[in-house]
Amino acid sequence: MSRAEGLSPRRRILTLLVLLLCADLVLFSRLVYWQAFRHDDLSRLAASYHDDQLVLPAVRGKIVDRNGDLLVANTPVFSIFASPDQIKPSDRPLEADRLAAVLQLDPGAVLTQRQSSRMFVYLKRRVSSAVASQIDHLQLPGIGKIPETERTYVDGALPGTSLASDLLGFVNADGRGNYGVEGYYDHLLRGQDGFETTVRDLTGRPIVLSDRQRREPVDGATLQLSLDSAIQVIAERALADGVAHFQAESGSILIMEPRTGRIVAWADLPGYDANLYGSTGTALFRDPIVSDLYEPGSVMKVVTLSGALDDHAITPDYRFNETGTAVVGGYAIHNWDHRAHGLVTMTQVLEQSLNVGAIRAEQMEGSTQFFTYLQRFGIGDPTGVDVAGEVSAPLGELSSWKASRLATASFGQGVDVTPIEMLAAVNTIATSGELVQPHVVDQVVDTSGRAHPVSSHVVRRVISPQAAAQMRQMMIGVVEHGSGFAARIDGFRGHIAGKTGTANIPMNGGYGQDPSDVIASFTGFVPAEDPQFTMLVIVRKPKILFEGAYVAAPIWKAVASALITRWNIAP
Amino acid sequence: MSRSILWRRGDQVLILAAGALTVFGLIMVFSASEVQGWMFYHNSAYFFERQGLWCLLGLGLLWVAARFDYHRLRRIAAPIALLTVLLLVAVLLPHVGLELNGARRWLRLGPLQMQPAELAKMGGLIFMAAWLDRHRLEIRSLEKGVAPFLAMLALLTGLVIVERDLGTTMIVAVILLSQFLVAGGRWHHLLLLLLVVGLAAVVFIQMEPYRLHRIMAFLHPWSDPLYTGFQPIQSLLALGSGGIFGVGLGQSIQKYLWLPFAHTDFIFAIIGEETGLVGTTAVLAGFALFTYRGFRIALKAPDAFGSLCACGITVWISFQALINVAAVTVTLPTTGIPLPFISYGGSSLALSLMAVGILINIASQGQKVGWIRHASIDLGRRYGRTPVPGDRRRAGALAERS
Repeated sequence: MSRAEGLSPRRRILTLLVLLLCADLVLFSRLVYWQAFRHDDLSRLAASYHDDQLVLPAVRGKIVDRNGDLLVANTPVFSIFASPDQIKPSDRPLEADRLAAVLQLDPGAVLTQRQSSRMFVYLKRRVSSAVASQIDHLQLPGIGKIPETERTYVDGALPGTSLASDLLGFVNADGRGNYGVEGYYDHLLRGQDGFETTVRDLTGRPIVLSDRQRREPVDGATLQLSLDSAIQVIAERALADGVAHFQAESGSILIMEPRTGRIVAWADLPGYDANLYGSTGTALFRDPIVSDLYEPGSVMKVVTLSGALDDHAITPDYRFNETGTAVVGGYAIHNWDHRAHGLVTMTQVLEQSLNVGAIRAEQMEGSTQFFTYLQRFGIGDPTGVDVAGEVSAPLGELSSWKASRLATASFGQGVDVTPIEMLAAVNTIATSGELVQPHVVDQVVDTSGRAHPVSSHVVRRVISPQAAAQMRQMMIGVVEHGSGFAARIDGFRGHIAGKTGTANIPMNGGYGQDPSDVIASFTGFVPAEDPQFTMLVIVRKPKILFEGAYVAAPIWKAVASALITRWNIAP
Repeated sequence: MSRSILWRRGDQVLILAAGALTVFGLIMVFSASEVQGWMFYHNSAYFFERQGLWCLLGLGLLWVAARFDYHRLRRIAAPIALLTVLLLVAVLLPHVGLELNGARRWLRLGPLQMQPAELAKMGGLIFMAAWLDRHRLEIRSLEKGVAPFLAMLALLTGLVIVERDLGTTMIVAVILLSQFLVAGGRWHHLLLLLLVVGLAAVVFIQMEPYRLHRIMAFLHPWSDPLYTGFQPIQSLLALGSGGIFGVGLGQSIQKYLWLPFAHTDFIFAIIGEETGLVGTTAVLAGFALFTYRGFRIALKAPDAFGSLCACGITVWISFQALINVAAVTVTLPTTGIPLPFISYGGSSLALSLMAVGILINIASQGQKVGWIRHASIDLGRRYGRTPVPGDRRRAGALAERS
């Protein structure tokens, strides 16, 4: 026998040893793979099997008006859920039918949901407590309800609307604020949902000794607005009456306190019912006060003449021969009445809203200065109001402006503003020359009850108090002697400062020929010497009487009268 | 006196490795079974207590085996084999065998149950060591060596496989085949035998649908994560959750009924979850050390019978551990066999400990230059039976004295 017959027993044993140890090494590498390299995703997957997270919803903050009256309340509703694993399969079809009847759902869909292997499915979110108690009466096993809250908005002045719908916005099904204050302050109103995590065994029972993670929900903050519900109702009603009377397409009323910038009323027509946002056309959600640009028309003359006064380019009594036509950059520009008015003062230019006079003031001031004053009045900039969706049309570079555009801008055509932007600009006269940022929220009250006031913000001084005083007198003249006659209020003669505006609506690069394609507006403040409020009324596309003097001023007067009465404003 | 000799010469490293695995196993059985114990018996320590009793019995068997001269095993090898076969047959009889989890594998012994299949490994390897020792000269012949070997292999594995225990069958086959190899079987004969065993395995897998399921679950666990893939996936989730250092002893979540057989066949996954890669590597290293020391004892054994016994035991423990860990790491399909020393299961623990006792006895009689070396030197005699008879007599005397 020789070695060639085979390996020695020693070698054979060593071969076995090496084979087994190699297998050990293979398994070791498998362990390293699963435990070191796949640790993260396997842990996550394991958690998805046995972690059960329950969301503890935060209650959204309330919104109240300046007097503490609720604008938005939270109503208790219930979400109905099923635990399919706790329902016998044989019971499912019958249960599904009975549930579907109460919840007004399709029985087939209910059954499908019920047959899932999950431990929790929502059958229907946010049903009223009446429906929830019906479900309770059925006493079905494996069916439960979770209390939740739903936003309920106060009724508006008109049927089918909620109060200040455009200003407030709404909260969608996912609990996110959309539009308006709900949208802008969503992060504060929403609060922070809490959660509770439990680890469960295979049968779904919680493991008592496991780490139970719980985070309490933080409810949303309450917002107190400067809005006055009573005035808001009056404004909405007056706007609706006016728009109906003049057969207009839409309208807006915006009222602010001059010194503080606090918004008092914010009415849009048409409004909508935020409680039924789901069945409302999305076009209605858009808030024209912050989101729509328009050419303000003659209201802009306040800005033009104020700038020229501050620049000492003109005085209120500056007199010149008004020919009825100005030729600028090859275009002939006429007055609204296509007439020449002869020798007029700048005060008369404003009172009678003469375009040629506004161009005169702009030219005397010079384009650079005129443009600078437009900017200082905040034209082309967003006001920064605390409402979602504010837009603006930047003025751009002066060098890109043609002479004709500068000329038309002096009387408010060819320059786009939002209503809130225009109101803030005119409000500068009421504050004796300071541009004040408008704001809606007075204070934020957090869950611990601590109030965080929102302070007023003066953006800049725009014109001198002297120039503002001169302009105030000229604006009083508008109401007393000029186009603002319809805004006169008994007992306040000589104490109302205002300006009308009738702007053509630009269409396809030109202006519409239809006389109703105008935006009529009136803006003014009361009392002129110590203004308590500044109000802008806009009526879009009136079919009867087209001018701000006839259409917007009477609405302004109606609301102003009510405000004077309610706030006991003395002249 | 004899105790200290057993300790000093009985391979301390092996004793420590087996002891550490057993102690760690008891701890892990307690941790992995407390949920089921509480759920089914309202006693968290239910399984731990039983495993503890079996462990004491196992230690007793170890003690006896360590002091029992292993040469005497050769004389009783045939009766042991007969008893094994009888028990394997008995378990098949109605009213005698106990059916659990769809397999008739258990025999009731008073308050305890035992699996004769576990005994098949022990009885089979002792008998085969004796037979191979006696037929070393014929083992290279196809008719006189391989054919009878194959017949005995077929009988034993056949009796195990009718208990629907493919895992144990495989281990028995591997033990016997490794002994065949060490005893001097020809390589091409071994290949032939492996082929036969492999073909038989394929046939048996085809016969039982659940075995095919297990293979499908192994190949595509994610295609049916809630049914066939559930066990391999939960096993991997346990291992993966553990990471490097584990979630902490007793902190397993998978043992909350998520992982089936958490305290028996899949206890290694719970070890992985609670003690991490550190723990699993330590256990694996413990078995590797056992493998090394076991074969070392085989190399130093004073005669071929001892060497073959030591090889059989070492392959048994090592291979079974490998197969178990391979199933837990989804390296191989699930076969349903326990992790030696660690998994809950009395017969397995007691017999493993007894096997350690036999190894200790062989080690205590080991020589610097064992039978193997003599065999290599004395090529003319080839596998001389007792190259140093004096030693054997001394060892025997030692055993008698003790």
